[in-house]
Amino acid sequence: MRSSRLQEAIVPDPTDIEPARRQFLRVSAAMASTTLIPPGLGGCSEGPPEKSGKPQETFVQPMVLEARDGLLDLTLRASYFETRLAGSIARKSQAVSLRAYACNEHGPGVSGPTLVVAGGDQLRIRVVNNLPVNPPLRWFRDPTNYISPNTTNLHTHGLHVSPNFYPERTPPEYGDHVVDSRSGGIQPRGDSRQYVYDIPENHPAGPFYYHPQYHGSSALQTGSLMCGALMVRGPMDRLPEMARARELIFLFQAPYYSAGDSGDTDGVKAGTLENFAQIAVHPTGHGVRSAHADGPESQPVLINGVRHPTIVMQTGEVHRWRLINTQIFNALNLSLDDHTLLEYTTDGWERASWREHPDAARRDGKGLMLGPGNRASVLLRGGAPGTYLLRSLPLELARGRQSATLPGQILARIVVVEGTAAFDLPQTPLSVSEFLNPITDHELASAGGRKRSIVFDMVGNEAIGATRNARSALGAAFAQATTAASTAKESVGQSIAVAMAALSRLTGVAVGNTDVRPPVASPTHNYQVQPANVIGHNVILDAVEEWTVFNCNSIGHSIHIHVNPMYVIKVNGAPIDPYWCDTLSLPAGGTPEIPTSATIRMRFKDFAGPHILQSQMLQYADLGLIQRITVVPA
Amino acid sequence: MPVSRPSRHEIAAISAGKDHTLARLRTGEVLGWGGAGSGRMSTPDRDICSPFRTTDAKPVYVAKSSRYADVSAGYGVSLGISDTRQTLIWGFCQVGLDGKRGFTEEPSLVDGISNASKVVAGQLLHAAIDQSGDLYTWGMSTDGALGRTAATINARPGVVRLPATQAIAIGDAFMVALSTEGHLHAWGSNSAGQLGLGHLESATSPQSISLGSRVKAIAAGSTHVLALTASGQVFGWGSNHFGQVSFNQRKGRSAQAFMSEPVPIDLPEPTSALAAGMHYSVALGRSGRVYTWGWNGFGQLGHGDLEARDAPTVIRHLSGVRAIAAGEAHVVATGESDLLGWGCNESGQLGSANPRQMSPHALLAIAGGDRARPD
Ligand SMILES: [Cu+2]
Repeated sequence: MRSSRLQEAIVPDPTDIEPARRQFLRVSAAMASTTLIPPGLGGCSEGPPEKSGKPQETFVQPMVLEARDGLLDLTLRASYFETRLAGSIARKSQAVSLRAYACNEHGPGVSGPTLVVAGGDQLRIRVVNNLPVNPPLRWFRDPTNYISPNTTNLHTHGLHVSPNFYPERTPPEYGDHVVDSRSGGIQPRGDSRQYVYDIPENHPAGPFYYHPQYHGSSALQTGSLMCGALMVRGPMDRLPEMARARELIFLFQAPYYSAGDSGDTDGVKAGTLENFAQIAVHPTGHGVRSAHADGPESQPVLINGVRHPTIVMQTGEVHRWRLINTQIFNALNLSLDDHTLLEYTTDGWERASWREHPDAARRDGKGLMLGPGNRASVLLRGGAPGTYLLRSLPLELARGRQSATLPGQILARIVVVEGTAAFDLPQTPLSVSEFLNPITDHELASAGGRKRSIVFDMVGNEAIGATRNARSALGAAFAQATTAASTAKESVGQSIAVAMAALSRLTGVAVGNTDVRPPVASPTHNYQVQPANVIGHNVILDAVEEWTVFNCNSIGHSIHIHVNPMYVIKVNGAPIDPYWCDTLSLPAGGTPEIPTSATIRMRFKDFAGPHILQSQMLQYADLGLIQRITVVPA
Repeated sequence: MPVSRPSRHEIAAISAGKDHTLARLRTGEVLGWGGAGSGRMSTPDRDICSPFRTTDAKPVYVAKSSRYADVSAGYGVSLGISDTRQTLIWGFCQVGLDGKRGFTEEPSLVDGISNASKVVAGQLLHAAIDQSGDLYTWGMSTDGALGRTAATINARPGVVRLPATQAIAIGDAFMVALSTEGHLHAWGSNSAGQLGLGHLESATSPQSISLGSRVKAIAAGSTHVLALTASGQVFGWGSNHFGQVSFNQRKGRSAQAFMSEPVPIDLPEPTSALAAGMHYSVALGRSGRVYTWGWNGFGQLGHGDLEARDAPTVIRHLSGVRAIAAGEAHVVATGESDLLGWGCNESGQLGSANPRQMSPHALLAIAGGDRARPD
């Protein structure tokens, strides 16, 4: 049924193909397109028409919704989605039941639809929460059902839009407003919320994405299937060379769920993600093993729901790929065999000149690092006919007191066929929105010149399970939280008075009616991550500030700041060729004495209101590595 | 003669931090209001996204040492000197030294400083002066903010090479030191010209600033500096985009968003004390009146509104003030019979005041008469 030529061209992935099964895989590889396209995607493959003798493209894309006459208005419904997903072995799939988005009249899918807007457009998203009622909250850091797994909200990651909400409108409307209270958010069983995003006229064009950011459930929901691509279009997209290049949007997802066959079911049903410990005790996931016998595993990555899709292009043809890493913890270190990726947006932020990423197997090669939440746009030109692998190369996750390397994995197969069409690359320098003008010393000085220090520090310095079998420090944190919970429940069980006294000791709350409270022996917090919001940051609208973010841990933390992008000027105190981003991986290998660091500048323009900085390793964010930033009126 | 009520406290000194307030009593005990560093354990289940980090308007006593010789409220942390001249730290201590880590309001010892007499807490950046006038700095070394070389980025206390020091002020990654002879040195970040050197280059070692006369007091805001000369004249430099130094009529306004060299600031009367916060300034006149100028987003100028002022403006109906202190966006002052505060109260640093308290509000009744003079 398929040509033998294709079958020979497929290079088996040594890391994910069981030797005994290779023969079977070869026979069935071409069936991937029919067996693995998730039902939610509607099969809108953009591949060339099927002809006998031509390689079959199995790259699919989610449904695309594009703004018309300045408006894109849609409804997203959060619910469970029952489907089958490929694990680390592409041909092996597992039945799953995961939290997901459905759009408008469609059923739920492996991701939400791809939303396309341009500067000046209004994006309206009504989010309806059809998830079931939350399990009973047993304690504020309940390690079993962390906070409220079925309460949600929506975040437009990276977009420069208002973070406010508008209670005076009927119904009330929300911008990119994620600072929901513990009793807030969009409640399960039918609660809904109207989000409205007015995209500024000069918004740079690039890839963004949306996902829930309800504090305490962001990892669990985003680490299921609740995310989707959000593209902002602009003049760069209209350059003839860009417009002619075939655009593929890659939503890299690695949903977590308990594996049915490993016996490691985390106390939940196979194919589900219901226990925060599932994503926290081994935050890098399971399934893709390291070459190292005892190295951490990583989570198998799907592209638009498909494991190892095949992309077909012609020799000389130019593609433009929009790469979105929606993983909640793991980075990608992308490299395409024998090809150079020309990066022209970092996250969603335009660049005037390419950042070149030649095949990392070459001596001058350089992987394209996409930390969790990072995006990039690249151009590439098809080389000589043949099959090439898009890989994520092994990546150093932690260094120093603890070291760990995230295993590499194959992500996609690129089949280049003979072609005659002549494609050009756009001329550089590309023209970039004035929104991204460099932030000079003079601009900083003229707008207050504030400098702040942000510390990412997890007590114990054991951020991850460094080895396959070790529990991470997060696991230890849960053990502590469990103890705290049971102690408190015991106290309540004994008597209200005893519980009150315990709480009084814990909090320094006055006993009786005294004006001034007696000195208390304050207990020491012993959480493994920072308690969130102990302090927040008030920034004045139109301020320009310079922040140094310190990483005191072995792991390379990831910092994401909402609403305003960051202009990175220094790494470890040394100036770099500056660039814009909104999600930044800090160098691994920090200690409390000699932390690593990145120094960024930001313009707090256009929008007053509350937003956050957070770890984009969402498990850490949910546990407290998150701080409020309030932009206050001048 | 009415007997002084037990709820009236005698205040020896006040300090205002990012979002907390400390008052050191004559007994040596310390009362704290507001957020991290106030000595108050925050409840573990508070709303993580709430801007209001406490609902508790009442002060607490800072624990452990019952007698403090000095205290300073910084960016979520506080420093204190015990009656045995040891330096203590408490609050949101995100990163510790010598393997000591944790987040605690329980004061813990800072090693390496003997016989401290003054402490000043900043943002992950701290200083102490010992009884012989040696200046110690410690914390995160960004932009040369320690004023000395250190083996680590997060440095333990070490002495800065300087003449004997009587006072130190800390802003955003920079410091200004006042010598016992009345000379100024500054180092660290110079992002808005706050080192007063005529340029924007940061300095990793102390640089001399000349005002042409002896200085007797200094104050540092986030990115601007105020200095008071022996004759009562005030100078300012650094960021000025809200007029926090002051608007000089002789130059165009656009040229004035920052001032990298000291300029005189006109005040209606001789000044006795200065304080500064995030882009605003406070001066205490010899008459006991208070003047404020600069940014006013939380009403921290105390004029009953949220309008910035680009020249010192007297707070009406306020007199008899003996001491002032400025936090990031709130001011405290010891008045005749009350401890007063105004500005930002999002964390309860002003007790039961409004979140934006635009005029003076009483936090605590204090013992009146001549028993309550400042130190
Ligand atoms: Cu985001």
